[in-house]
Amino acid sequence: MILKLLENKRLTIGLLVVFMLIYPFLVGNSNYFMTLFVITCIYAITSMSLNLLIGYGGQISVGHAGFLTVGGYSVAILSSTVGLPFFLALPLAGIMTGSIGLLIGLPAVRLKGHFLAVATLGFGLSIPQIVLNWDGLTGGYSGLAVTKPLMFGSDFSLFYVFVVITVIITWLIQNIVKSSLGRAFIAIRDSEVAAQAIGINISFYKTTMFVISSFFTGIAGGIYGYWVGFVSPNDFIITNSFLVLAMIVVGGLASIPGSIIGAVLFSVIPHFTDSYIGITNIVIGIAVVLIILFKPDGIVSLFKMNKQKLVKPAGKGELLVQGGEKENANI
Amino acid sequence: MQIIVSGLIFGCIYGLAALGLVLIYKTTDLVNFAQGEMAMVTTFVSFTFLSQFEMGYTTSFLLALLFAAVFGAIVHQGIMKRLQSAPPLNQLVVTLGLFMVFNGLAGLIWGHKPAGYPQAIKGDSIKMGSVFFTPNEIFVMGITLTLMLIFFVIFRYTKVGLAMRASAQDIKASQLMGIKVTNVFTATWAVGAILGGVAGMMTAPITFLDTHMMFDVLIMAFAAAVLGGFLSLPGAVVGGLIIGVFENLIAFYLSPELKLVYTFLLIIIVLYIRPQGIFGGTQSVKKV
Amino acid sequence: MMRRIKLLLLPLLIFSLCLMAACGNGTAKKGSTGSQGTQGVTDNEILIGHLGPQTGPYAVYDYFRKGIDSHFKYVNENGGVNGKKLKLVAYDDQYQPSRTVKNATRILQEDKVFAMIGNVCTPCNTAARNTFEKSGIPMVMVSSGAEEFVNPPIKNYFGSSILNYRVETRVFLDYAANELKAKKIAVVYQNDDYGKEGLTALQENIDKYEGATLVDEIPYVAGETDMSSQAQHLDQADPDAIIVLGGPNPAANLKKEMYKIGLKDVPYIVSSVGANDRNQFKLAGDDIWEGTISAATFPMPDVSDDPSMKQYVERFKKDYPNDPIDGFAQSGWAIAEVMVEALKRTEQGGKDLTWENFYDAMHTFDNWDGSIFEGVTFTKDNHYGLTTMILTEAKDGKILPISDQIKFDPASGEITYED
Repeated sequence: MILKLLENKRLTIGLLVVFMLIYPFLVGNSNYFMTLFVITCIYAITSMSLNLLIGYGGQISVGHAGFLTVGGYSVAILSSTVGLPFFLALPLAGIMTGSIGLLIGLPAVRLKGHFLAVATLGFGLSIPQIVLNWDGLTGGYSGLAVTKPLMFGSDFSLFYVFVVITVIITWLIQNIVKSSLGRAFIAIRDSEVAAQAIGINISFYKTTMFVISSFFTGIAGGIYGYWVGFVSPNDFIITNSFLVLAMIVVGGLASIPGSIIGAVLFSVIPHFTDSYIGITNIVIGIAVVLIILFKPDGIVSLFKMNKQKLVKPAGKGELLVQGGEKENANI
Repeated sequence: MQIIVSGLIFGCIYGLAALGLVLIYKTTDLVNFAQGEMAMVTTFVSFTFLSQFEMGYTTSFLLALLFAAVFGAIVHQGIMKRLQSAPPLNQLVVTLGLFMVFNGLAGLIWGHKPAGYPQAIKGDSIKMGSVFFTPNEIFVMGITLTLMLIFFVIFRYTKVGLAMRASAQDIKASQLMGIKVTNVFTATWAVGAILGGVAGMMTAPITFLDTHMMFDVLIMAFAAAVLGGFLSLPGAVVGGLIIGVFENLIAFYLSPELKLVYTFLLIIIVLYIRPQGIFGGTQSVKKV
Repeated sequence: MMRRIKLLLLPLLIFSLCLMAACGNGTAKKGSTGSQGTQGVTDNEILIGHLGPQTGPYAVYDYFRKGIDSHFKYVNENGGVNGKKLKLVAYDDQYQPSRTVKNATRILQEDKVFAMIGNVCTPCNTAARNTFEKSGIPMVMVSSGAEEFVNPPIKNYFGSSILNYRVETRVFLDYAANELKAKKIAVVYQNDDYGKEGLTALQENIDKYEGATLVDEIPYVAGETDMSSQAQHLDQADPDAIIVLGGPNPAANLKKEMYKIGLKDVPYIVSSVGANDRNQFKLAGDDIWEGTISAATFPMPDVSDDPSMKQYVERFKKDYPNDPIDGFAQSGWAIAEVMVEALKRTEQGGKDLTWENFYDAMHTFDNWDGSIFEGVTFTKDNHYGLTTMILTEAKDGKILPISDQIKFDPASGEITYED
């Protein structure tokens, strides 16, 4: 019934807009629920970016939380140390994170599967250590304060700004996927040889993927910095990277709504479990296992009314295994 | 010199943990992120035998390994079997989920206070030249090399090994040839869990026994396995040794705070030069 | 395009439904929501909040919560505070500031607790400080010895449940230079708040001791399990005394490594966080841990004749039969005692339980020894709380006091020994 209603596009978009607008009032202007929503937005952006890389591009990254940290610190340094205004600092944070993404992306072009996983894992593990030790720039263990933008006096208006940014990013990523860029990514994911044969420059596109993905994740990190007003090395660690990875698989690979569903699910679970001692991770873990066992294409497959539209996720052997390598395996 | 020796000891621990990872990967095509937590649970079980039932070290050790085998088999039969033909990323994320579940449950059951865990062989350190060894360290090195050799031989020269290699290559063809692939996989998981358990019980005296003791070890083991090419058992051990020694050299001469960063930098450089890892075979282009 | 957007809506709808459900629960449960500064108190209940890691690599700090919980249960069974029962609201932040800030607003504005007690983790406390400081909610003894929460004093932050890192390290330096006559002092520190605060104190004060020098400053990363290179550095520096600023596991591990390479007789001084636990004998080995010197805010349970400590041992064993009595649970119990005393003092003379009155009550603590702590002191200018300590030494499986009360005066920075 509800699903039928949702077929009506205008109605649903209207609902969406209304929901976003009245959300703060729905929750009684509660700072906690607004924070929960913003954190969900941050994870939604991160998981969409990661999905762009993994789901559409077939490139694995297990260190995406590192980009969140870089984004957060960029905002902190740009706003507090340099003194840039909000509308400059946030995109710049994205660009700075994007350039780090470029650094990671360049060697990553040569790596695949587990080898890429280890390289990005190393990145995700190293960032907190580097931040901790680069006292002069990052303030070390004591973290950095972020100057909140003056033009949005209250958290209330800041909330709307971040919601708008999230919507814009969603729209952008959606368009990237449908553009020639996105089609090139998918072509590379499905077969590098075939992609090359039709004239796609593989190294270029692979690096671009990393840059785009880290750019958006950096902005998400920036949003975190601005919302909380403080960043520290422990904010986003390797377990957060794992969680984002779980979000996209559970939500649905190569699916933008899937990424958002995953992000929402894993951001909301702690709300219900945090007051019971020590079960949050168990619940999340069980959810991951059960959902993948019973809905291997992610939660989003539940809603696939017009399934032909969704790009199918990569099949076995495409994502992580270096095909054809086994024959020459050294034991 | 002492620095290098200490590095070798840690290298053995990483290598030992990596053996289980590689074994499972070679056969079932899957990176098991829950490996470390399964090892941790096994170690806690052995500790329960040791402290609550006051059994001897050897008895507890063997009983814990028995437990590990059953545990590994159950995880495969109960969960991983259903994912045999799912995309690798799905399998990987499921093991991440299991990781969280095992870690959380262990915390609820055994608490979070670190406990001292006995060494396999007691005794004060012995001085050889300018280098100090403890008997336990020699034992750890010995057990790592022995296990590596045993599995190397099994894999290459026995029928079981052949079945494992065949299942890894092509599930359908192996089934047609009369190999019970699922059984082979279950057995691999059991053996992988045993290897993990051994690694856990060797790690616990050094890192102390608590619920997150295997986390760093597993990450380093994963890095070691990849450095070694991920398909090669000796490669895993050699990778572990390289990482262990390099880590300690960096910690001593450069910066103990950034040793992890430098270690991964080294791995990335090595992989950039040899994308298939040190012991990996020649890389072939993915089929169209 | 349109279809896609439609798909986007579903998660949002789910989310909103979840939230509405959550809000429903929330509003139903909410207690009194009176004027500013009286939240969380009803005629028969006082809500107290606590944030800390209950899972993850730092879950060992959950013992603070268990200690607090145990004491609250004890108080409730004995009539509560002036007839009101204490209720502890606690959330898991896994030692991650990004989770803490979320829970901080939740506990403050949704649960509306009256006061916070013993929040764990320095960076988490820093991240949440903005929220808590602005609100004015009383923050009783955060579980961080960092300087920023006590000096300069913040109106609503009262002390720490563990010794201030800088004060403690200064006492160690004093002891090493004056009592042990050490000239060459080496320090091994964890490269985060635990270690670096103390390191700063050492560097600032070493010149005050004639002939004493810091021969080596060796860092390690939190959670490090391989201390062999640190031991090697110590071997080369050949110090007269070693000060270790860090947690229990690295302290035990380092001493094991030193023992292995023959460094057996150098005085080994470890910060209270890393040493006040008989479990250390099990981690490092009985012989190895022997002789370790540390500081404490109270004697260990087995050598203490404090009635509070007896109560604690008895009660905690009942509430948590499987957990060891050593370690952070004692501190949790102790800060809960301070909280209860402060609540009682607030209501003395028929005053209302408001935040302002609570602050005033906190300021009446003058070396109060009614808790496990040796002494608790708060004045308008001194928010350290724990400025009274003793030195301890590990001997025959016990951790014994080796000094009388040592007092630190925050105003003058002087350390006085009582005989």
